[in-house]
Amino acid sequence: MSSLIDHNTRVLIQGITGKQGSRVSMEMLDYGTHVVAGVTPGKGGQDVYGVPVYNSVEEAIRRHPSINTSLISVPREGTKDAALAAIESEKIRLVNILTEGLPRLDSAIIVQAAKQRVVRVVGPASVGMINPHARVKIGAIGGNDPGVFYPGNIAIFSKSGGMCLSIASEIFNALGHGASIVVGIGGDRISGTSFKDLLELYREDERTKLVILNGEVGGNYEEEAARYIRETSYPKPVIARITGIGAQNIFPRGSRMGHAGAIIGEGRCGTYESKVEAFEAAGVSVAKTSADLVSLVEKVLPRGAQDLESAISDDFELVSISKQKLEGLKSQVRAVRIRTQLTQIIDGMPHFRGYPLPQLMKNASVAQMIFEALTKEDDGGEKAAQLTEDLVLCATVNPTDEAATAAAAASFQGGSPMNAAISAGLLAAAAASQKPLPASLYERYTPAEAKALSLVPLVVDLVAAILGNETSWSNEQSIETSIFRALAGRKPTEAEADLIRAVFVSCVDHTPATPSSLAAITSYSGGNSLKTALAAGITAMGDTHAGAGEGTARVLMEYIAKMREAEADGGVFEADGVRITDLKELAFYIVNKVTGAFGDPKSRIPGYGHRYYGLYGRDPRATTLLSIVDELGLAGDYCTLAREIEAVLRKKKSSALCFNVDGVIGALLCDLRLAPETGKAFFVIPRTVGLLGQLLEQAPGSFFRLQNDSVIYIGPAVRG
Amino acid sequence: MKLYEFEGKSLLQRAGIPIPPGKVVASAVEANGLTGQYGGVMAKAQVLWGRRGKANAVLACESEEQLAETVAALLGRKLFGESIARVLVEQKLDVAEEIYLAVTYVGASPTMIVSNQGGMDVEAAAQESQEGVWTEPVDVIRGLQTEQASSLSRRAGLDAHCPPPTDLMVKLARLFLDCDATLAEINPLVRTRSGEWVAADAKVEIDEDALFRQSGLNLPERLGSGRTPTRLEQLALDNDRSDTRGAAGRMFYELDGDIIVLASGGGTSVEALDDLCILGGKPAVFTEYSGNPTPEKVKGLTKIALMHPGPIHAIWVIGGRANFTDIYETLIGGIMGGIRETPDFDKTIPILIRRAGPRDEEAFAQLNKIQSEEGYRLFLRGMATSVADSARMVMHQAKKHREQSQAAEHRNDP
Repeated sequence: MSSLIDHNTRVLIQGITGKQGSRVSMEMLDYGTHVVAGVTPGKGGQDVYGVPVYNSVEEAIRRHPSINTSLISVPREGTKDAALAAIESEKIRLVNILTEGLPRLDSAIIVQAAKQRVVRVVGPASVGMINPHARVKIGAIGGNDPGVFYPGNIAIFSKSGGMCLSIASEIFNALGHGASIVVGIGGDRISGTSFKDLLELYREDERTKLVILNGEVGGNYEEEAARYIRETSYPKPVIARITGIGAQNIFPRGSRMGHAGAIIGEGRCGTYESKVEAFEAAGVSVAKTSADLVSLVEKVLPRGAQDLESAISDDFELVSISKQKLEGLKSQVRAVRIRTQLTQIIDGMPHFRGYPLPQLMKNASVAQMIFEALTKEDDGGEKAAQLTEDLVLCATVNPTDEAATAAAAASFQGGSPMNAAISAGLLAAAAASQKPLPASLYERYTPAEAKALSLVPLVVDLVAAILGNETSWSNEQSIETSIFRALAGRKPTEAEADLIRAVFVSCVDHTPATPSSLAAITSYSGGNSLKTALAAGITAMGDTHAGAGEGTARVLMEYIAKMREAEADGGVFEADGVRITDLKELAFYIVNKVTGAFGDPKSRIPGYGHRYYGLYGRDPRATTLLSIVDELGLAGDYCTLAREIEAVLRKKKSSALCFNVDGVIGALLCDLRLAPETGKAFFVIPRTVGLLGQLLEQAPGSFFRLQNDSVIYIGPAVRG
Repeated sequence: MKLYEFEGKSLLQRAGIPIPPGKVVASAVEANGLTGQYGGVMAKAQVLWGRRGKANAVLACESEEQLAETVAALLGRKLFGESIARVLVEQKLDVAEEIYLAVTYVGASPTMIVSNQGGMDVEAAAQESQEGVWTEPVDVIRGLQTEQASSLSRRAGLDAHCPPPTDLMVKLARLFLDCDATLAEINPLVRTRSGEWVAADAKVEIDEDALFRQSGLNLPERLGSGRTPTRLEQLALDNDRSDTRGAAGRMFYELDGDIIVLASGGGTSVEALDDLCILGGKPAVFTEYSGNPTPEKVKGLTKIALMHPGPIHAIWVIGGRANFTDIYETLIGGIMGGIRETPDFDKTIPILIRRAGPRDEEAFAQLNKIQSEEGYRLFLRGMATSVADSARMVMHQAKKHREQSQAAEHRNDP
């Protein structure tokens, strides 16, 4: 573990329905922390800002096995038991206690239990912690504006919660340095995690180049840290600050400051002097005031020493990202918030239900994907096998209404694009009379899940009808073969079935941030049925979202056809005065023709470039899919040409114009000898599952809209 | 919370630990007849701090007259800043051996400490592995086990005499846990010539954060220093108790400087006081309010602070960015309310406010309005001004005010 908290942090909030608990939940969610669940005994079944509430820690963990962190915000009378429940859960590795004024004995009991179970406790009376690189915070740190903590290379550990913020902002304002991690350990005499523990934890942290310890009179955590630094030759520079000298000098001994640990005691131990002496003996400079602190920091990290790229990237190397672009992305994210349990994109890598997508593309079955998307349960093994049967049951007991298939086919023949035709079919199905679903489904699924499941074969049937193909659900061995038959009108080879599986996995979901998701969720929140909402989502797809595959296929087919035509005539393909003899030259010509010298430099080749992955120079779904195509031996001239085009674009234009997953699908369907218009269908079928999964996540009755201040009026002033 | 020796001893007694027979007296008359009852006695001044023996506040008395004289001399005497209100008179012990026995926290673990050395400093004993000091961890749930106590007695050589104080050790550890103590010290623990172990002294501290569940101890309130609260300090405590929302006056120090400091937030308060002291500033009053107290409570606190006899040369309202505390309510209804309701408030006193949080913009707009309409000297700052800079501004304004008022006095002086 390189950091206390990062993008893998999944938080349970104990005391979530309380005034402080709900407020902190909102702040954490707004910042981007994954708050998965909450606990308040007796309030199970409620939700707080969309976060489900359970009666016990045990229940919350059973429903959300990904939980690994707990924040405790309960009255002090219940804090000990709450913390012990978290510590004994076996899943929670980090417990952050916000509660103030906890009896020292309770702290001791918590610390002893945590030690036995190797769980880290931070607090009590901890303001929380924040990792500005991963945009994750736990607790009240930064209040409702944690954006004032900027990413950087300084670790700040402080007893005082308020000073976490003041130190971070003074250093940022004066020197432009941000923080790698900021932790409030709490001002009590017993802290679950001491300065020394944190020094140890961040000893090898690559991002941290300087540590600031903000201590206080009382206790001996400062002395202990100083000894650790001295005895282990701590490899990073450390600067200390100790507050409380004023209190020590002015107040009568025995007086207690705002922090329980800061008691002006008798004797030498815990005094300002003993702490300064210990730090100086360890070669640690001690700052007297905040101005001192800034100048000491400047000596180690001069202004401008922070390298911007390291300040932004997390795990992957960024190819060409500008600060403005990143800020732009962030501000988009801030506008509207949707919670999802499906996909998380971490620095250019989509993770589905926590798994990196490329890993799933290699081995997950379609049934497993559908199962996890719709039920959000982790056990995809046995139950997923059952899902195939259930799906077939849906399709055979309740076959797709003929009016629906007819509407879809008619719409397509009338000139509608593939996605609009599917939507037309869905809307017709929504209007048709509905036979009840097989009762056995309700043993394994909630009514909403069962309904969503039944829509999957419906969409496959509509695609088949549009393309003039047939499906035969009862005879197919797997969902993969049914889908292939709908698209191609024939049974797939083993390799083709595996390919369709990989395509399905790659397209199943890409967070609710996409236009189709937003449309579906908006429609659903307006009170429409799942079918209608799904139709709205699919309608929102178009040439630039989900439609690129068709475009790619058309371009590739057009030029390869021209070249083959010339070759068939025994000649060489010549265009715009250029002789083209192989695919490499053809690729070069296409780039020039469409976007370069022979065409409009602003126009683009469909299937290349991505709004998000372009920043990283590669779409991991595309690269993985291509390698699977290679392994299966299904790559033909079209895939080869498509790759050559990418190589030219990278060299001549920008790495941001990487081959995207739609483009790969476009090339693939050409090699499979399918029509270009199947491109969108390749995408719509799996994404149907993602959209349904997202719709099921929406809290019933939640109304999805923008805040009024998100709308800017630019018309005439008030008149008349 | 520190307990007086007699309070600590009554806890020991309740836990089944033998103490010498004795009586607490608040006048010489009450001590009448005690030498007759106990024979030779010790008269021990009851104060919270300090080594009483060295300060001649623990005295042996053999006769009735001597005891009466000693008690009379001790009562009312000031010892370590506390005036002696009570004397514990108890039977003098027939000492064969003295040891040190205590339970306190070492790090996060309650620990029993035994020493055969006199004049121990418990903090030092807990920190350093010294010769003649033996320790044993006390389980936070199960307490000290009999086997642990036996082993400790054996290591400390206490089993040479029969019986070793193992049972007493187990009881002391139990008392420590049951009473939410942070220190339970018997120094010395005496073995009498008749072979009994008796606690000759008791120093017990109870965790202030646990007092809510220790109401059974029936401990009267006191300042941590043992100092009797001043009138203003007592008023502030009463003000804090006027309702339960937030805190305003729970911490209040009446001092001899000339700046009234109304601070918010644990860490920021400490930092503000540091910065002020480094610059040589002296508070007249230092108090805290936090946790979104009602405006009435903050108003009350402000009025009490302004009762300081002065002269006052500046008022400093210092805090960071509040998460919950309503800045408008606490500043307008609270602090300005208190200032407005203080009769004859000298409007030339500079009032420096550095604060941010919920409704701060509204509060600052209103403060500007009050300033222009009513003529107060307000200096308003937000988070862009550091605590240290704010302290510098306070020092500067206080100095100016001091000079102006001295000049004015000079003029009035014919």
